[in-house]
This record gives sequence, structure tokens and C-alpha cells, in this order.
Amino acid sequence: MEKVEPIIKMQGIVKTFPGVIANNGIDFEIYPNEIHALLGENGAGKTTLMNILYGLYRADKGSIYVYGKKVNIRNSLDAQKLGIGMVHQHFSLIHSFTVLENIAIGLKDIRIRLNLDKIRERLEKVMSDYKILVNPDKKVEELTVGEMQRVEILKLLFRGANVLILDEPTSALTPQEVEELFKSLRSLVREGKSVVIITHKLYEVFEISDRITVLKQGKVTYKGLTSKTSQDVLIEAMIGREVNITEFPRKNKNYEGEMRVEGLSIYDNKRVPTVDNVSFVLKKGEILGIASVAGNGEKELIEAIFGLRKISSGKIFMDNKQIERMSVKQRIDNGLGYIPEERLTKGVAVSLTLSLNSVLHDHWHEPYLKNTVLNESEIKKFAKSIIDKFNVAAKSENVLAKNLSGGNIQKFIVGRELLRSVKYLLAVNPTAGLDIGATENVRNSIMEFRNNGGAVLLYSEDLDELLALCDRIMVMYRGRIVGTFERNNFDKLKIGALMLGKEIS
Amino acid sequence: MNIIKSIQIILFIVLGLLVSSFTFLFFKVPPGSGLSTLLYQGFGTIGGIAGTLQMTIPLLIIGVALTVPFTAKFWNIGAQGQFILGEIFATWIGLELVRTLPPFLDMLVAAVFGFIGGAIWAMPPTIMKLYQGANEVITTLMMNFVAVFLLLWLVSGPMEGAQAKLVNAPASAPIPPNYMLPTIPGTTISSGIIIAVIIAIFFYWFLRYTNFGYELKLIGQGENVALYSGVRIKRNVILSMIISGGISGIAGMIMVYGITQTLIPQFFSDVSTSFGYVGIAVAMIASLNPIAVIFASIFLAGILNGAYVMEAIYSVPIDVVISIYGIVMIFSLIGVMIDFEKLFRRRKIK
Amino acid sequence: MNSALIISIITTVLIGMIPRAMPIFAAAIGETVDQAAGTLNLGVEGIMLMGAIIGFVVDYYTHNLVLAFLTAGFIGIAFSAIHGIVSITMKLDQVVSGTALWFIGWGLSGVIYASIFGISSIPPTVLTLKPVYIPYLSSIPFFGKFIFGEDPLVYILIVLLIVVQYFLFHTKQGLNLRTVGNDPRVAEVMGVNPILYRYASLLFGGFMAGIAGAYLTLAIVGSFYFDMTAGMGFIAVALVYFGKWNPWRVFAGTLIFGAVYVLYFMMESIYPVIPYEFYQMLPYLATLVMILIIGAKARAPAALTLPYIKEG
Repeated sequence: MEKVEPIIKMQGIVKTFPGVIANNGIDFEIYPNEIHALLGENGAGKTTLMNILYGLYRADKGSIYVYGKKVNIRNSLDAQKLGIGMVHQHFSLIHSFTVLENIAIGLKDIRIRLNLDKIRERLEKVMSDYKILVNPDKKVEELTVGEMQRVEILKLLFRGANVLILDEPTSALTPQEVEELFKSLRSLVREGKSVVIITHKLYEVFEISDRITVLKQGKVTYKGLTSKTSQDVLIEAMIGREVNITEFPRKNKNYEGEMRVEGLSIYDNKRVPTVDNVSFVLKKGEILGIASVAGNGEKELIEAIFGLRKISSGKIFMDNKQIERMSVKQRIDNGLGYIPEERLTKGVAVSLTLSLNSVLHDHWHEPYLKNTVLNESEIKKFAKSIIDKFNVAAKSENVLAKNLSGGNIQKFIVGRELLRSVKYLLAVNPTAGLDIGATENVRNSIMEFRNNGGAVLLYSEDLDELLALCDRIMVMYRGRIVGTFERNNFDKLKIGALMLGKEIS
Repeated sequence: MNIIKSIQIILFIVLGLLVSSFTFLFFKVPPGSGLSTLLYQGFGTIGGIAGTLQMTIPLLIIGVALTVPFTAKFWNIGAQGQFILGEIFATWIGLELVRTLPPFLDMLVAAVFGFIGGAIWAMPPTIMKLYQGANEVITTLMMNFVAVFLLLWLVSGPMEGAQAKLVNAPASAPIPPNYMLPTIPGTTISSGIIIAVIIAIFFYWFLRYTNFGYELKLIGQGENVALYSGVRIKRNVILSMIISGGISGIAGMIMVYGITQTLIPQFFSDVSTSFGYVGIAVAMIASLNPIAVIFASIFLAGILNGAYVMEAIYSVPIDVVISIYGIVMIFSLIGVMIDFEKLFRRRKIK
Repeated sequence: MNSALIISIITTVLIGMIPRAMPIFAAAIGETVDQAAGTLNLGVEGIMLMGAIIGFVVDYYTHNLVLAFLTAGFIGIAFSAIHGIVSITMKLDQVVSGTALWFIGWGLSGVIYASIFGISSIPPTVLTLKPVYIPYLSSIPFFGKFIFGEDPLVYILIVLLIVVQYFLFHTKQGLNLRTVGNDPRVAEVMGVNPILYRYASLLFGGFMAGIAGAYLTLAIVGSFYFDMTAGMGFIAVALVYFGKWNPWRVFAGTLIFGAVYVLYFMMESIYPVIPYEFYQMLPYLATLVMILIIGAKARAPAALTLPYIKEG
């Protein structure tokens, strides 16, 4: 049997970012006429790898071969010339332009005159060749998400892509749109293209892909044909059986008070709910984790509890007070705290001092504000205590936040919330980007907070972290809670399966 | 604001001043001697200092008034119009009540009305920006022009004073001398300067030590941080503009009650009364710090004063001042924003 | 009123609005391109003044109108280049640098004038652009003069209007430029260089603002006086907003504006009851009203005024 040569071969790819090895010696091949699923958890390195192929990143080490020839891809134009195209999760479309205009942006083979009719002709040919149809004269803002995606795919085909990389293509689609997409993909493969889908959804992998590569923490943990594997094998390859947990001392006392969420739904102008009828109870003295792959409604849920997002229906109670109509400040007054994900744009004011940043959630409270006057010495004291207790590497509290490294900013933010009078703490990826020492520091602090009666609603992309810290874990998938686990019943593989959409009995 | 940064800013301002002095070459005046004459006339003689300080008064107040919305990055270019409305309101009510109130109360009421006038004038552009996204630079500027013509109509018509009618030079009736703000004993400088300094100190305290000032800073950082800290952006911006317009209005009141004595029309080409615009330069050069505004306004007023003398001696027109202001503004902007450390660090890595 | 009066009013308005509107339009067409690429140049007022004085001076000494206009345009390019370096390359605040540029242009223009002509109160006049009367057509009663008897720059600007319209909406570069103004990241991903387009449009805007200023002195007023633009540069910026960044609509807006201006002159004599100062306010009030009207539905190039920060 003749061996088929891969169209694209990536060999020994290494790519590091400050503090993290995103791709650690990856070999990856794409064969002709196939749909190849690139599977892995958040942060496994899938998007990084494909960005390297598409010329958006440069690999530190390794080589890329296209049709057997070694190539140097310096930017996305080089990739396009080689027939490689990529559709990112956030579309690169101008909403006020028509489909036709979007296709035409940056075309290299026109000189000056934009002959939209000629382009329309070419587009219609592409659409009929691959049976992917959109109305070329509609403005992008009038399209459904599924149609927008088709435009993105058409953009690639128009430019002669042979290998199409789709990053999490179904995350914003309705089930019908997913079916449409799959039909189109099969049609593309029939016409001789290859498709790489970056995904974390198991059922999709089995429904549409021919071949699978699993990445875990920057390394390949499984390679093979879809027909020759099973869900369990894949889950294990993605998540791994071993759990590295440091045991944290837990004091279990009974504390009065809880946060109750009842029937919370957020529709967000989409037909599919972002958050779908979520209900849960968060007791004082417990850490409740949300396990989900990013983009399943967990961030919107937390933002809604904090008061930054309107909810379509449902109730939120904190210590039996109904809070869903309260302003952010009122919720903070009632004991709510928040460690947000984007620290630079949401967690701190970058051009202000650490001193001023320490009272971001407190500036209307005593002792920082007395008789309408900010008490600078109290504020400084507070900032200093954060810096000391959490080992923030800053010369003084007068340093501007932007002059700190990312990890130190995060330490500061975490420290700030934990040192305030918070009863219920919302945290999103609190240890993201921190070194081991800082991570331990933060985790210990969260545990201490819990042991002293605090309640924590924790979303972390790191499943191991959730397993280490939480008393309970609820799994979110597509905006719904699909399972809850008590600490004595933690089963990493079961949780992982639910996160990936697998239904378990 | 640490010392190194302050020195850096001052250095850049000086650099800007040096660069701008080259405009003197247009009049065959060497930059060096031109600059030194300018500075000497503005700051070096007793008469010069007195004139400078007098000119500082409205400039200082408006400069301070602008630091408030600018901190929230709301660009109020309309201080000139707010100033004029303040003048109008204050003069109108002040003259009305001269018969019934003693001087002190009359001044007080005039100040209150001046505040109201300026605050009202600041509102339409603010609402348009907050609820429609209309660019506040353009809208506040348009209000300035409307104000100028409104003033012109009033002082040639309904508010025209009897004396003014006789000489056919539009102006309102004068404020009686005993109702004017007293001058500082022994000088010709209006006590308005003291009020101005007090206002500056107050707003320094206000911006730095109150909740409100803090929230304005957050808004100026970008919407997200403010939102995530529970700040109500619309409410804060509206308040900051009421304050800004109102204080500019008070500057107008002090202008009439302390310096000009009557309400006179505003001419576009008159740099020396364009406090609303020069105030922008003052606020920016002072990096939005009200105490620094005191110095910046004295600085810019002194340049203006010196420039008047330059006009007499060298026939250098007064307009040169505005270009000096602009050049110094750009240099101070660069001085504030540039982080030399970061620049050099990047070069080394390459 | 009888029909003859109405017709004469209309003709007067039509003829009068062109000289009023055209300088503003010259600046506005440049600013349209500018804003379509996402940069806001608030220094237009200052650049217009610089264009006015430079054009005036060059014409005074060389009597060469073409040279005068071109020099004015190039001064505009120089000024906007400074704005570009400060706001695009150094990424400092566009509003501050634009305002500073306004001051510099404002002051410098007065300085240049005074240094050459002194501070005398009678300004010298220069050769101005004479209207070009197209034979036969301009003799058509009522409308002949208006359409076919304007000075050459009006025709050039109309042609420019058509060219810019074509450029923005029917060329590849125009599409790329509008992409940059909407989302520079998308532009970059699609292989379009945002920095290049922003600089280019800024320089074009500056060139046109310089021409606009020269137009004012060389075709309309005939001499220069301090701050003669009286906010026209800002009105131009506002009209771009009003025209929703579409050249034809911007043109329509400037014409309406010009008509209003002329109307006030006329109303002064017809209805002297309303004080003339209110008519003088009209252009500025009109701008505010225009902004108010389109406000809720304005769709700015989404990245207007946001500096483009490249990711690593």
C-alpha cells in the first residue's frame, strides 16, 4: 500500500512565552482530503501551534514542510501563498461592510479598480464549487453567526486555500448551524481540501473528523485515526489520570449564610442562551468551582453575579438579600468581591499608583474615606499590607501599576480582595500567568479565606487547580450546569467528560 | 508625581519655550534676546509682575476648572463660552441688585449666578456626548461661538449701558466702584487672585482627596476599570462638567467684578481675552494638577504680558504668543507621556 | 411674496452659498478621508490658517496662484505630519496634539502676516481667483452663472469630490482604508498596513486643509486677517460627522451650511427685527443641531481616534 505523504508537516515545534512553554516539541501532520481534529484543553497549545502555521507567531525551534519542501512562514501572507488559511474564534470581519466587501479587503491581485462585479462572479463560482452559500450583498451585521463563519471560510477559499484551519468553529453556533457547517466541511474535503478543526468538543470530533491529534500542556499525547479510538482514550489523553494536588488543610466549621442563585438565564441578544437556567448554592466556608472549557457561559455567569451584566431572568440572593437589581457598589457593600480575568483592563488602573489601586473596591468605605475625604495614610497602609503579605515585587506603594510584571499585578489584585471585608469572592483564573511560588501563595490565601468562613466561587481553566482547592465542583457546558461533584466524589475523568459534552449516566 | 518626572516635564517645557523663541526670527529679533526680553518684561519688573498677576486671575481659575473634566478625559473646549455666560449672568444679576443689596451680598449672588450660567452652558454638549456619543470637542467649541454672539447682542442691545450708548462702543453699564472686588492694598492687583489661588488649592484637594476625584481618574483610565469598580460614569461626567462650567463662570464673574468693570464684547482675534482656550494649554502643561496650574498660569500670563511689550518695542505682534503656547503644549505633552526608561530598555534588547 | 422675489432669493442663495461652502468643503473632503481611516485631526483650523497666510504671501510675491495654492497645501502636509508623528507613532493623545497644532497654526499665521506686512490696520489685497465663465452656458438665465460661472477651484473641488467618492468606494485602496478606520486589527490580519493608511490619509487631510485656507484668502476674501477662519475648520470636522463619512453627503451638508450663511445675510435686511447677532450664531447652532439630528444613528468608523497598538 502506498504511503500517502502529508501536505503539511510540522516537526519539533517549540514555542515559549514568558513563563510558559506553549508548544514543547510538537510533531503534527496534515494529510490530503481529511478533516483533522486538534483536541485539547484550554492552554494546551492548539491555537499557538496553528498560529505558527499561519504565520502569526514565529516558532522558537522546529521546522515546517509543505509538500515535502521546507518553508519559512514569516507572516500570514506567506501562509496564504502556501495555501494555508485560518479562521479565528473572533472573526476578522467589518460589520458595516457587505460580504462582498469583506472578501475584497486586502486582495493582492487587484491593482486599483475595485471591480465588485468581477469579484462577485468569482465569489459565486467559489460558492457553487464548494456549496457554501451566503448573500454577497448583505451587510455582515445582518448575518447570523453561522453565515459570518461561512464568509470567513469563503475568504480563505477565495484566496486559494487548500488547508483550512478553523479555531473552535462551533462555539457560537446553534445545532442546526453546526450541521450546516459539517455539511460544508465534508463538501470541501470532497473537493480536495483539508481541514483542521481546533476543538474541545468530543462529540464533534467523532462526528466529523477523520484523524485526531491530542495536545496536553504543549505536548502531543495521542495521534491517530478517529475510527480507531474511543472517547475514554481521548479524555485520558487530554486530561490525564494523575492529579497533582497539594493537599490543603481544611477547617470545616459551620458558618451562617449562603449565596443562592435561582434560575439565572442570560440571553445576550442571541437565540441561544449564554447562561441557561443556572441554579446553585454557595455556602460560607466553602469553595465552589466551575469546571468548563472557556466560552461555555462561565464568565458571563460570574459577571452577572457581580452586577456587570443584565440577566434575562432569575434571582440572586446573598445572605437572604435579593441582589440582582443592586448596583455594583451595593453588591460590594454587601460583601461581594471579584478577581477578574483581564487584570490590565479590569483589575487595575494601569496609570495609577498601587496605593490608589488598593481601594478600587473600597474607595467609598471607611477608613479610606472619612467625611468625604480620602485618607491617604490609611490607603497607603492598606496597599503596603497587600504588598508585604503577598510578596508583590514593587519598590513601594507609590509605584504605578503598569510598571509591575503581570504576575505581580495579579498578586496585588488577589491580595487586595482577600484583605478586604469580603464574604463572597468571585474569582476567574486567579493564578493564570503566575510562577509556582506566587501560585502557591494565592492558593494558600484562598484556602485560608475559606477556612475563616469566606465563600469562593472559582472558575479556573486549570482542572487540577479546581480539584485541589474546591469543596464542590459544578460543570458548565453550553450555559447549563450539567453535573455537580462533592469533594469525596471527585473524578477527574468524569468531570472532564462532562466538560467536553459527553453525557454520562 | 515623583520628582524625576516633574523635572522631566519642566525640562521639556523649557525646551519648548526655547524652540518657540525661534519665531522671533520672523521679526529679525534673535531668539536669545527676544526670549530674555519677553521673560524680563513679564516677570522682571514690578509693573510687569503686577500686570502678569492680573492676567493670571481668569487664566488660573479656568485652568483649574478644566482639570476636573480633563481628568476623566472629557475634553471641555467650551470653557470660553462657559466663561462668557458666567460673565453675563453675573453682570446682569449684579447690576439688578445693586440697588437692594450691599456690595458683599451682591458679589456673592453674582458669583452664584455666574456659576449657574457657566454650568448651564456646559450641559448640552455633555448630554449629547453621553447619550449619543457626539464628539465633545466640536460641540463645546460650537457653544463658544454662540456665546460670543449672544454676548455681542446683549451688550449692544438689552444690556447696553447708558454711557456706552453715547460713545457707540458696546458695553454694559459698569459695576459701581464700591461693588467691585477690592484690590490688594498697595498694589493694583485685584483680590481676585487670592480667590483664584484658593480655588486652585481647593480643587487640588478635591481631585486628590475625594471619592469623586478618584472616580474621575478611573474614568479617565478607560471605561472598563471604572465599570468594574462600580463607578457610575454618566453621573460623574455630568457632575464634572457642571463644576467645570460653573467655575469657568465664576472666572467670568471675577473678570467683570475684578478687572474690566463692565461687560464687553469678546473679539475672536483677541488673545488676551481668550482665557478659555489658553486655559486648555494651562491645564495640559500643568498635567492636570491644580497646584501646578498656579505656576503654569503665571508662566503663560507672564509670556503674554511680556509679549505686549515686545509688540511695542519690536513690533512683534501679540499673536506670536498663541503659537508659543502651542509649541510649549506639544513639548509638555511629550514630556509627560514619554517614558525614557522604557524607550532605552527597548533599544538595548534589540 | 410674489414669485419674482422668491426666484431672486433662491438665485442669491445659490450663488452666494458656493463661496461660503467651498472653503469648508475643501477642508471637509480631506477630513473625510482622514476620519474614514480612523484619525481625527482637530488641528484643521490651525492648518487652514497656515494655508491662508502662506497662500496669501506666496501670491503676493509671485502672483502665481498655482504656486500659492500648492505651497499652502504642502504646509498643510508638514503640519499634519507633525500631528501624525505625535499621535500615530508616539501614540500620544490625538485631542491634545490636535489642539496644540491649532494653537500653533493660529499664532504662527498671525506672526507671519505681521512680520511681512506689519501691524497696520489696512491689509493689502492680492490677486484673487477670477470666476471662469463658460461661454454660452453661463448666460442661461437664473442658473447659468451659478453652475457655470464659478472660479476654477470650485470645479476642481467638484472633480475631487467625484474622485474621492470613487476612491473610497470603488477602489481597493479605498476599501482597505475604510477597513483600517473600522478595525485596524482586521486590516492587519488581511495584510493591510494600518499605519501606512493612517499617515497617508492624515497627510491628504492636511494638504486639503492648507488648500482650503488658501482658498479663503485667494478666492473669497482677497486678504488675510487674524483668525479669519473663525471656526470653519471645526465646522468642517463636524460636517464630516454629519455627512456620515460619505463624500456626497458631506458636500450636501456644506452646501446646506453655505445656504444658511447666505440666508442670514439676507434675513438681516428682510427681517431686521431679529438682531443680526442671532444670524451670526446660525452656522454654529446649525452645526449643533445637525450633530443632534444624526447623533443617534451615527455610525463612526469604529476605530475613530483609537491609537492602533500592535500586538507582539
